[in-house]
Amino acid sequence: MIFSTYWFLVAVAIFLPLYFFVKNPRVRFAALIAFCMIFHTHFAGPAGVVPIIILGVITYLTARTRNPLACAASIILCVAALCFYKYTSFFVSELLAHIHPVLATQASKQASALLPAAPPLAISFFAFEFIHYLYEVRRGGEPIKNVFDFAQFTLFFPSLVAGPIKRYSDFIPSLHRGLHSANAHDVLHGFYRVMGGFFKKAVIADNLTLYITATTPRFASLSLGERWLFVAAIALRIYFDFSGYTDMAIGLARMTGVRLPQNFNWPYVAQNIQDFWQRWHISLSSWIRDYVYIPLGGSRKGLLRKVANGILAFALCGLWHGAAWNFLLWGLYHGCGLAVCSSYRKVLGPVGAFMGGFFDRIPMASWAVTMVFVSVGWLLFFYPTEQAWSMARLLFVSAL
Amino acid sequence: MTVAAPERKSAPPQNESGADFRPSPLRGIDLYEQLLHPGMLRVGPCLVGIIVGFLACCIAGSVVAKTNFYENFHRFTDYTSPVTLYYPTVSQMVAMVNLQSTPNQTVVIVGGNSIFNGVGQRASEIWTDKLREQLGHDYAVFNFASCGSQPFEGAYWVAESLLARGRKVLYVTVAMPTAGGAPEGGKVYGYLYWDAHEKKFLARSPQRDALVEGHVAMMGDKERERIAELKLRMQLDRLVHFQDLWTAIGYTQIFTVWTQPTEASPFKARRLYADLQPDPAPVASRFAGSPTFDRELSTLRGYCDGFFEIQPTGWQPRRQSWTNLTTEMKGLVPDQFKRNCLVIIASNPPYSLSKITSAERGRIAAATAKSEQCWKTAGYHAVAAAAASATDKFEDEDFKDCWHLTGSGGTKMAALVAQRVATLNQELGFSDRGGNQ
Repeated sequence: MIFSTYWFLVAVAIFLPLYFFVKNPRVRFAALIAFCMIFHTHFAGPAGVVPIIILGVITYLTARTRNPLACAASIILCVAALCFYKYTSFFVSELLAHIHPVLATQASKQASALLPAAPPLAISFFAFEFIHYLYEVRRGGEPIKNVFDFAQFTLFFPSLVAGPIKRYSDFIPSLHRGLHSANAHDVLHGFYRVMGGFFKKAVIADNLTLYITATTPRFASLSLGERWLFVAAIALRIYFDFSGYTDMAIGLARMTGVRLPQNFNWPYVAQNIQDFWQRWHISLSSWIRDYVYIPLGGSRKGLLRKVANGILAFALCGLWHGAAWNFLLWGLYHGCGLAVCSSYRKVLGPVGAFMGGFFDRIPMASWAVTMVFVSVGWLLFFYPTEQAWSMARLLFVSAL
Repeated sequence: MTVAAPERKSAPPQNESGADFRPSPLRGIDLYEQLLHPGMLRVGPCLVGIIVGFLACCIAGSVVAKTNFYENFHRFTDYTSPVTLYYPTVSQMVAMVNLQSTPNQTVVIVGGNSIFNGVGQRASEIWTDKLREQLGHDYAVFNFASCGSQPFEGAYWVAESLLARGRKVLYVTVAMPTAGGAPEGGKVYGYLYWDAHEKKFLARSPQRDALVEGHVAMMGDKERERIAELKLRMQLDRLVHFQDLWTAIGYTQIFTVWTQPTEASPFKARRLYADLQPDPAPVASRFAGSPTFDRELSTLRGYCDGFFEIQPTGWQPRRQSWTNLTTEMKGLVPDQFKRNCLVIIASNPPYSLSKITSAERGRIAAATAKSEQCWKTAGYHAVAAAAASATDKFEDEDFKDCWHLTGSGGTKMAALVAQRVATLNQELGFSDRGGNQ
């Protein structure tokens, strides 16, 4: 994890006092952008920086033209870049290999010659932020005029690696407020948040990771109760890991006076799956809503289209997390859950109304069903499909 | 450069169609805003508190780095080693030696792997305790050997730290017949090299520095990054002693990391764990009855691979491999300290040797002799345990398995080492009298 590396600790310990004690906004701005570039270059390496710079330059220039066609073309380019770097190997080895093995072998050779060993750092976040920006400009939004503002929107170090996914219309004003008025209160508040995030990540999540790693091979030999505890550990692990990281990102941004959007809102108290997605990885779920679900038609074109749009949006959400079948299935699983959750009262008629009434009267039951659904889903997120399936079955039977 | 923010013309999407999974309004969900007591946001007192707290931790770390908090230390156990994510520091080992020995004593640091750690021997029969008894009060013996360690890892850097400060030190280690190592150690114990190096415990050795630099340069990106982080961590630790402090807290108060061997009480202070070693099985069923015997035998057969080649006259040593091994051995220790180091080449129980072919037995015997020769050529003192004592040879009952010694084996090893240490002590002029033998 980048925020807990010693390099980052030293770098930020040098940068933040410099940023804080220099009161001139222009100097602060220059220091911040220099630090962001050093940060990105250090962790991504030249092979990771160049594609982002190229995409960024194209995005910036295209948006400046405000030409809807050019913006659409740039959006396609961003999607293509994301697919190329993140999904080529998956496409070749998991899809093409089954359809046309010879072509897949050739494509695999070509891909390994063209692709870097790992995708550019945070390409998913870059691509989503660029797409959001181009989409908003295409819809009539004002493009960012200052190239350095755009560079800052692209490379702002706290949110660079794991979000939250920013919206430029909120970020740029916040950035400038921070440059002009970051104060000791911000630093202190940010510091507490970073410490809280670090505790969540390093103390809670990392210990749970050790437990999960050691326990996975003997999952089948656990008792039913222990298996459910194990699944609860997975659910808590991913929450504390990700929300801890997000807290550190938000805290670091706050130390520079910049406010990033919140990303989690007590997701494990959600009463249903819709509620869960309003509380979990909020910046991603709202991105998916605004730039996938709504453009597909949202809920405007009847129940079937609404369900299909939701499932498709969540399939993409799953794939965004990683190029593997288990992520795709995890997305589909949540898409189906959301479809059921949003339509069962209508579709099932009196039975649905009864069930809805039951869950309304006994919120604990609604919560328990939601948590079981979400927790079992994490098995798909964590493990290859077959393993996840057998582990999920073992949650309900003592042996297979 | 202008710093004006662009005006927002388009409202955020609030389309009815998005109602199915629209995030809650963000107001009020910042838990930290709600939890932080106003007093915690009073800038002056808080900053002073943070700075004072940080400095207090640094001072506490610096104090415990010079304190021996290991009560009745005999050896590192699973609970005080990286096996359970516990990482002793060089400062603490050096402090232990300094506080438990006098300048007049010859310090004997025992290093190497689980054989010299005493795996297979109960806490009451550890071989280094017998060595201490045999050597007498002119010597102070410390067993810093660790499971899986190379011959010159971990404990050696403690020995060198003491040698560099003018102490009378002998370093005794154990090696498998084809073992060498890297001067900066491996993945598990390499942290101790950088700990000692960055804290300036080690003697200056441009030759070793160049060798280490060369090794690191040949590593893959991930490994180079790991080493760079490790170096930085140790440079910071030199200033703020967080590692020393945390190790002391983990040993004496509370441990904060879950591990499988400690899963029953993962957060219990490590000093509360007993040094437990199961008794070896009866000799009759110890080897053939062991579920791991076949694997051990296959390891025994395999560790000479690459060091011999088949010729018309039978298996012959592969010259290049042995030359490379000798070069590796030469780089492990600065030349001036090699004469203070004694390498014992490990032996095996007669039963295990009887279960391999005569050609394989021949290769192991040849490798042992060759290895002894290589260590000597590289400048160290070396002796093969199997050939060291004509009268008191190691028997099956002296071994717990293919390598590890039982209490009786430990007694024989202690006698062998005591004799060599006494001789070495005299040769080096540390004392007119080599113990009370």
